Amino acid sequence: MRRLSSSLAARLIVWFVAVQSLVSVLAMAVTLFLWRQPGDEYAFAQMHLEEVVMAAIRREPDGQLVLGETPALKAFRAERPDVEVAALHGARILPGSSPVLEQALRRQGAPAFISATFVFSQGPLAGQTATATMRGGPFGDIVVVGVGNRLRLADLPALGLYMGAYLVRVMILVMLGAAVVTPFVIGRALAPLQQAGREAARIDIRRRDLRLPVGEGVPSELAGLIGAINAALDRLDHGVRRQQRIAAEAAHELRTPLAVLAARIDSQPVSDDQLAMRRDLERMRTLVDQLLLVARLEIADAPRDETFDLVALARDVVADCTPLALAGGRDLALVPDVERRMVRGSRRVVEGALTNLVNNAIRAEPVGGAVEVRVPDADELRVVDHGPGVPPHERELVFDPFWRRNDDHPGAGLGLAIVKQAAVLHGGRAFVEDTPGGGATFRLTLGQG
Amino acid sequence: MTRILLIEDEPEMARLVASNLARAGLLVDVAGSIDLAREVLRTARFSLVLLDRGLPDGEGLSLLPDVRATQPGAPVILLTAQDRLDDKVRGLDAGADDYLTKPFFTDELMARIRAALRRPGGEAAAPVVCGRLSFDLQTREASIDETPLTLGRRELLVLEALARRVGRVVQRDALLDAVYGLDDEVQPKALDAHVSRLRRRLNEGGAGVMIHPVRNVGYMLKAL
Repeated sequence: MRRLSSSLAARLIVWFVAVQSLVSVLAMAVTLFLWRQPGDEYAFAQMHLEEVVMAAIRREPDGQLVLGETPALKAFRAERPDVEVAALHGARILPGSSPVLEQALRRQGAPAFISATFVFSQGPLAGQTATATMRGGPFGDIVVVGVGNRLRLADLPALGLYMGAYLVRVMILVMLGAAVVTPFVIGRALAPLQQAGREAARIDIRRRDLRLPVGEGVPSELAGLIGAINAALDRLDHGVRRQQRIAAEAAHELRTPLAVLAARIDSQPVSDDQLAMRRDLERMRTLVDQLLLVARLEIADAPRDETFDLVALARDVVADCTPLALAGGRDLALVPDVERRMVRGSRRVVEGALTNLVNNAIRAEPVGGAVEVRVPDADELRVVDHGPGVPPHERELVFDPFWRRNDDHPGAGLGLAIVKQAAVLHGGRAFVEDTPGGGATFRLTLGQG
Repeated sequence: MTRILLIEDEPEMARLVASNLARAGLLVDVAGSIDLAREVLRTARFSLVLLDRGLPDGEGLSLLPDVRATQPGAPVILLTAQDRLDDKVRGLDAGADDYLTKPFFTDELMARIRAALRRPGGEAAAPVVCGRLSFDLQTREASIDETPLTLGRRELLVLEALARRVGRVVQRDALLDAVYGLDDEVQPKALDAHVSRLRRRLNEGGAGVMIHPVRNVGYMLKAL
């Protein structure tokens, strides 16, 4: 579960609401003090008056509505002696209203207003500004009229409450909108990023040519990042290619001095030392061949779209390896279950892998025994020996490059690592099992089938 | 004496290979560049040419037409540090007869040289010797300790095919081609009968060789 603070949508919503609230407050302040319209100072003060007046209206026992003298109204009047207050229900001026204002309203004619700010043109309050607002209450709609009620400090709490309530309403709407819209927009905008994530998951050393998608639907903000990642992948790919080419060239360059060394060894008189040097050189030659093959497999420098016959390939490998097996007192046989088995891939890579498996098996096979190369009716090759076998806990390890059981036993060098790579290159796998009756059976599958 | 030309630019390599081959009984001339090799090819006759591919003044393969023009019938063996299949194919396509990857031992090179010289069109070479058996590829005569061995036609063809690749496995298809050619009706089953008859004759004569069967692959002639 993601932490909320790590969700982009949550952060956007929180920041959006916070900034929006701040901006609204600022906007009100600016409206109040800088951009105020004539009469604004009355309109805002009126809010305070409304509160006081509405709380003071009560119904007399005879059913009449009157403006009672509550402590709040009393205090209000004492505080602002020049302010006149009236309350109207319909066209009726409620008793308790300020007599001067009542007189002025009557002179002005029937008050047809609901909410308005106006200036008396005649009567006792001529030239004074009046503000009328209508409020619904338990006794129906009441029009509250105040004259000369300018904004002053005492109005601020009421104003604050009003503003606060207003702000909360606005902010709830803003938040609702943000909560609905933000995840939607983000989800749409970031969909290409998820696609890019899926693509990125497929990139590995063998598939370095894959790049993250940059195209339609990718927001411009992400295009920069994806482009930069792709450029970084390009540079890495370039570097890996260079490294692999160096490995391949190094192995290749070793051949020339080794050739001189071989010729030099041959120029020596035959002796135990000379024979030992020959064996050393054989091992170096094998290693160089394997290194080169590994480097090439990594560069994927082999055609993978050849169609070839596994049985014919196995026959070639058995024919090539037989002299070596016979020299060591072992025999080699091909046991195909089918006449022909066509597969797709790189013949050279599979041939190299099978040669390594057979050489490995020849070493494991007891003298006098026979290694079998089997071609079952599948995209698979099996090499069966009757040696000591591979204990279960070593069955993964033997495919590691240069793995050896201990210092006394020479390992397969890169041989089985090559087999594994060849399998991977063909979408298959390489693994080892017990041979019934004793020994190891190495299996190389090509493809899932 | 068989005279061969070694075209190799690395002086130490050239010196050692030349002296190793000389000890094996060959007369070796060395050329270190394409220009020099052209010169030598114009003025002398060689039985075989060993050609290094990477030469200071160009690709060794470019010498192949010169070899063909000046040394008709002389096989060419490429020596190279390249071991890529496409390089090999390119070399053989260009007309080389064989291909040996560096590093190699002298006996490996000698085996290739002998095989190349044995090929039809190659110079008459010493007969193939294996155990006490000797097989002359020119006259198709087999003998055991100088005593001629008389064999049926098919058995002789089997022996010839095996002797050409002594010490290596000859696949059944190749044996069938050798025994039945293009015209005869191929009888895969009969091949094994020919082989066992040949084997019996060799044993009776005390040839000191065996025809090793490689199951489902072919046969290999080797000394006991």
